[in-house]
Amino acid sequence: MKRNEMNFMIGGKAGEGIEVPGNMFAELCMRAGLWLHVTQEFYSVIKGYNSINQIRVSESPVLAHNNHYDLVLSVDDETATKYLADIVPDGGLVYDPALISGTLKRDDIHLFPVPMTAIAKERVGLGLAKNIVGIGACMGLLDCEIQPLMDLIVKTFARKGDEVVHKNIDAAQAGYDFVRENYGREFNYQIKPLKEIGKKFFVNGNEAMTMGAIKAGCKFVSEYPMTPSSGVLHTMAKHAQQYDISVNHVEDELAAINMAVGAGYAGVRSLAATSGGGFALMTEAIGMAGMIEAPVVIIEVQRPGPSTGLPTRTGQGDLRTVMHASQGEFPRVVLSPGTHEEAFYMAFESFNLAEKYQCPVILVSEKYLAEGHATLPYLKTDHLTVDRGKLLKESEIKEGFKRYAHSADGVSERTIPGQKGGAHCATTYEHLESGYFTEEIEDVKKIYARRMKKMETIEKNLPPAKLEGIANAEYTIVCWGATYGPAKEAIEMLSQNGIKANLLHIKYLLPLQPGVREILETCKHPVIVEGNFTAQLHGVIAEKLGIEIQDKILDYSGRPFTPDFISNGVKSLMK
Amino acid sequence: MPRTSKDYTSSAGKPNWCPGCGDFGIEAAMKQAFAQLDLDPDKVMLITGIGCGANMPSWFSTYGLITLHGRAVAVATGAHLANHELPVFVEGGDGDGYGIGMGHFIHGMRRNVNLTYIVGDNTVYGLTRGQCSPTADKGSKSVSTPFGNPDPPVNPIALALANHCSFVARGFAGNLPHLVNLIKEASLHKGFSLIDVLQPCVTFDKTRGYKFYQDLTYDLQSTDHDMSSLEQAFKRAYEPPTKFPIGIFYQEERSIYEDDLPQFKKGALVHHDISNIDVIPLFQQYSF
Repeated sequence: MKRNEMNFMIGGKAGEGIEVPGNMFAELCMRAGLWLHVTQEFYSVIKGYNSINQIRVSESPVLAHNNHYDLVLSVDDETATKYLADIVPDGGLVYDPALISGTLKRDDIHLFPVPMTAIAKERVGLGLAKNIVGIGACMGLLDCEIQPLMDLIVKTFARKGDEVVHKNIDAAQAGYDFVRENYGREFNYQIKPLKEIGKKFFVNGNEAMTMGAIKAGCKFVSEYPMTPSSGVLHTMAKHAQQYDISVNHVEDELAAINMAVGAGYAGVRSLAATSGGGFALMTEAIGMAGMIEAPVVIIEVQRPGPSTGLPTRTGQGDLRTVMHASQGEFPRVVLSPGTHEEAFYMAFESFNLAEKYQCPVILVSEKYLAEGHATLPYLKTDHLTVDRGKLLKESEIKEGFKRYAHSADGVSERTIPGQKGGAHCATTYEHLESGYFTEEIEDVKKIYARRMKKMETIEKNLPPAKLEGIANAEYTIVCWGATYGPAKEAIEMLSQNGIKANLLHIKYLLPLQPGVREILETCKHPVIVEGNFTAQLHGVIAEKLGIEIQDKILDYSGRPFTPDFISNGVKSLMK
Repeated sequence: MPRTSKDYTSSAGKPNWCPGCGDFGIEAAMKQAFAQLDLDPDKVMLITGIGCGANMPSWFSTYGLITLHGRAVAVATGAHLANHELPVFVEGGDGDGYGIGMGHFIHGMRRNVNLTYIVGDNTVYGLTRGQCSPTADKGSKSVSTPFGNPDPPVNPIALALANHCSFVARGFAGNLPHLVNLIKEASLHKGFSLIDVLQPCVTFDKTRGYKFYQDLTYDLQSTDHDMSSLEQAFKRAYEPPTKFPIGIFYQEERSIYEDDLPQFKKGALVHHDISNIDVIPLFQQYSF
């Protein structure tokens, strides 16, 4: 009997409400005190096409999804046949025989036909309630108490009135009873509540980044919706009044970034979030923030391009874009979280970096993390300190203040509109220390060098990279962003197979964080793992450190890495 | 001591516009208006785009920000919402506002952001050497349209009237007292105030000099024009090229962007304490 350790998947047509039973399953597991990792794969349509919701459950934190399922709930005509081969031996498949044409051939798994549509029509009078029948059936198979599911149905449908609630309760009960009567305890998996539940919450990466931004004192958000970054806008909008934040759904990404730069200039911590296409439109204003030295944070949630690409899928193809976007040269920071927890902390840190170094900071993530959910413990926040850098208090402004004054670390003292004695002209033209424009050779060279000096200062102050896992490994996986989760699990899988592997996850990409050279120089066999075609981080490392990593595991299919894919990739290098 | 234009003048340098440029008139009118409004230079944001006139903040002693071509309204919107207690003046040219920045112009009016937008309208792109702008007449010849501009002009006044602009006015850079007064009225108006300023480009458009506008302009406020009537305002908006009414076409009181938002009730966002924001309630909201 396998208890509390399983990979569940529900598949159905977009627009037919597969989210509701998926969320119910996740919530029931959460209430049982389990840890989850949830990812969804869906087409860029509102209705139709097969969507899947992959939910991994464990008694300890889960870092990644995988594509081998213990239990599949198929509520359409496609999931059962499409994913039949991906079910593990002794796993189960719940499906509606009325929706399936042809036979399902697997002798080594449990097939659980449940007439979900018929039951739903009979009990609720609506075929779509088959999803609720299905989730009831799954709970029955997993030997769960039915009461928590009933409570959840009440909560979920209460707004729609008593009749809807009762019908759905009937539907869930019917599904539950059907499998109990017909399949008993045939299925070797159980979900049982833990005794110690602990304080946990459940968020996707967009929500985690939003919470980090709120903690950092972000007061201004402007965004134009773009999948998969819209979650930042939605989450910010939801909490705008709770935390006194100006959240603005604006006319386009040009407005989004220009407003955010304006707000940053005027002294509030500001954020614009987007995906690659929107980021492309923001390019010019990112250079403006660099030139006038206004703090601003941009969240760029990657999806595969080029152009419209694969709007609802994941990828890591924008690293070079965010590093180099906008004409000319100016300081900026590019950082990328590996996990949901890091998404919170790095979002917080982005705002400190933006104000300390008075430059645009780009927090780059990807759909896999941003729209994927995970369970987190209540995060520690006592140690987080808001650092506003060289922003002066009015009392600190000296006579003859120069906004762009030269300084040893390249960072000048800053005033904001309204402060007595701090008035100056900020301009996107090249300028003197005072801010007044100039084209004179010596002046230009001096201010340009001072501005760029900030990059050195930033690099010096970034935390050094860390090698994770065992020392003296045969293979070192080098990756960035949310590839961390699957890679971390992959090195454990490899170790279990007797292959010594460890992990270098690079969190600060521009400037490249210190310590990467030292680690790579001692690695026996580094392997770069990236969600793009051209191995962009590989190129950055080669360019910056002169170290060319020979082996690459790349995926540009728009799907996230799985631990299997990475560990098999490493294994294939051994041949 | 009452404030004067000098209080708003930077000691860093002098304007580098062509002699006789209409921008001098706009600069003088702005400084006089600021003085008459008794604005504290440290409490004013002057935000511009890119172009001859948009270099304006260089020669002001207020907080100034020269942004990007076409983006001044957007930047100013963000700056205003960050600190809605400070007056914001946005300035730029017709290419800046009605060409590349058209989107922000329209949405800024819809939003009724509380700022004053002064557009120097001279029908040409001066800084890039005289190409015709979106307000140039059909058939206008310029370096970019040697056989005549194929497109009819944008009508900024009608456009503003059609897009909920709550203060729509036109001035003339050659009529200083009138323009000073308009800038004051616009600044006192709560909401998005547009002042389209007819302005000769003495270098690149010899056809529309000071005399041209002096002969064709007349003051709306010396007629029976009812500035609360959208219908009358539209009629006046379509008078060019035979006549150029100047003054206030239309003014209405309506709520501004932040009026209905409780976030702004506790003072400017920039003054909110961000040193220790508690996000535990958020963790709780995302718990089960």
